[in-house]
Amino acid sequence: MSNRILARHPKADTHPSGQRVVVFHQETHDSIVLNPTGSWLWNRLERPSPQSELIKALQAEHPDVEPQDIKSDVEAYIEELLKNGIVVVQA
Amino acid sequence: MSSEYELILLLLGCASRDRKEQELQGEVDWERLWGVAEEEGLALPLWECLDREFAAYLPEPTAELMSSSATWRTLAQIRQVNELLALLDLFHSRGIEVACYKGPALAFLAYGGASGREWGDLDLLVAPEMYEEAFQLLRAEGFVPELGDLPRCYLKLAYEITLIHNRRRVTVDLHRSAFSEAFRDSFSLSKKTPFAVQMNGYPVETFAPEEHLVLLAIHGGKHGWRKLRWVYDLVALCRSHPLDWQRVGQVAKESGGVRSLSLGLELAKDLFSLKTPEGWKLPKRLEPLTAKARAHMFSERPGLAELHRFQWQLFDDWPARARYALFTLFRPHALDLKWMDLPRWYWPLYYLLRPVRVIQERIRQALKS
Repeated sequence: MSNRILARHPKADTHPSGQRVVVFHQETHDSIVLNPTGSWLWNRLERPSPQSELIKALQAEHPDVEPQDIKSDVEAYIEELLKNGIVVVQA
Repeated sequence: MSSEYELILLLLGCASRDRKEQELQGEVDWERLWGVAEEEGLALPLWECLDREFAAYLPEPTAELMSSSATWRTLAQIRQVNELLALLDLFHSRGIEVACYKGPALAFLAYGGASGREWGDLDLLVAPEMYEEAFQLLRAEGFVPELGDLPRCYLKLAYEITLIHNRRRVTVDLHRSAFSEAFRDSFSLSKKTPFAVQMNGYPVETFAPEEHLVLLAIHGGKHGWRKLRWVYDLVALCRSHPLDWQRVGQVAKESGGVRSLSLGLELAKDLFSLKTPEGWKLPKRLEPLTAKARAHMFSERPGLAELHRFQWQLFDDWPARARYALFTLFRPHALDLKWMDLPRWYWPLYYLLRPVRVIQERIRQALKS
């Protein structure tokens, strides 16, 4: 699961607002406001990335936080984004 | 000018980071600052600047308030963009060529998207021969004219009409030209350079940055530059695009907007320290207009007579001034048309009825006072 490649849904529009990003899904017409860390992940997903790489990159950004905590937080967050349909797993 | 205005000008302007930080370290009334930014329609650019560059200076409750307000505004703008795209789709399905300018087009062109700038209505420009059809199409969609029931000849005489859809919370300004006949007809669909801005992945026809710059300057001058946001629009456009200034000069000359643009750039330089290219200096005898525009923005809103005087000085030549005077005096407005509903063959008489109605109105006002 951690090696799956994640990508933004092609119908998800990005609207930056300060350090946050508002994502609008053109098909469901749902809007989701991402917090600064979520926005950072979202920006990394401009190009499809393996989940493990996202976790590593965030761990490198926050060396003061327990790597395991970051891993579990990112996994939970990505599940939320997948559930909302703004992120998809690439085949 | 209040200290809140001064801080907004400093933060959105070109001062150094040190200078901005120095000011933020002082006492800031954040609530008032945000209030002014909201009133001026500059809340989104201010939030973008503060949250990205100076988040450490924002007290927690202020950051929360600004963040939720900016998010709420962004969501409202996103909804407007979707309404716009749906309308453009509808127009295209009926073979009506349409361009969108100012508002969302400017937000995407100069501010990076819907979350960068607020707008009130959607300015749509269609060819004069499609004006009535576009109007009927919007009526069939449930839009109603802002002025209520209009006289039959309104569409023949008015260059724009405002339509509102209450349920969808959308206001459309449908134009057959960007400005009235009092101005040179340079911003019509047939004269614009083909140019599209991407909105949510869809190309939307609009004016090219160079044309938009001149159009915004003429628009600002027409309204006496009474909103700070209009000056910042010029700044944002200049910052976001490497403009072809030769083309800008050509557009300004063709549209009779050289003085308007010179004043707009002078204001942008004066208020936001925008570096403007050489050759756009305001003629010396028009320099008082800068002070007047500042007064309109920060202290006294201009009255109608003051607006006409201000605009008069901005025209590049005497024929343009003469045309402006004639159209201001004789071009029928909605009130003139509502005053008397004439049969089709008598519509030209509205041009004569207008001064009569205006004089009658003035006499009535004088007697009252």
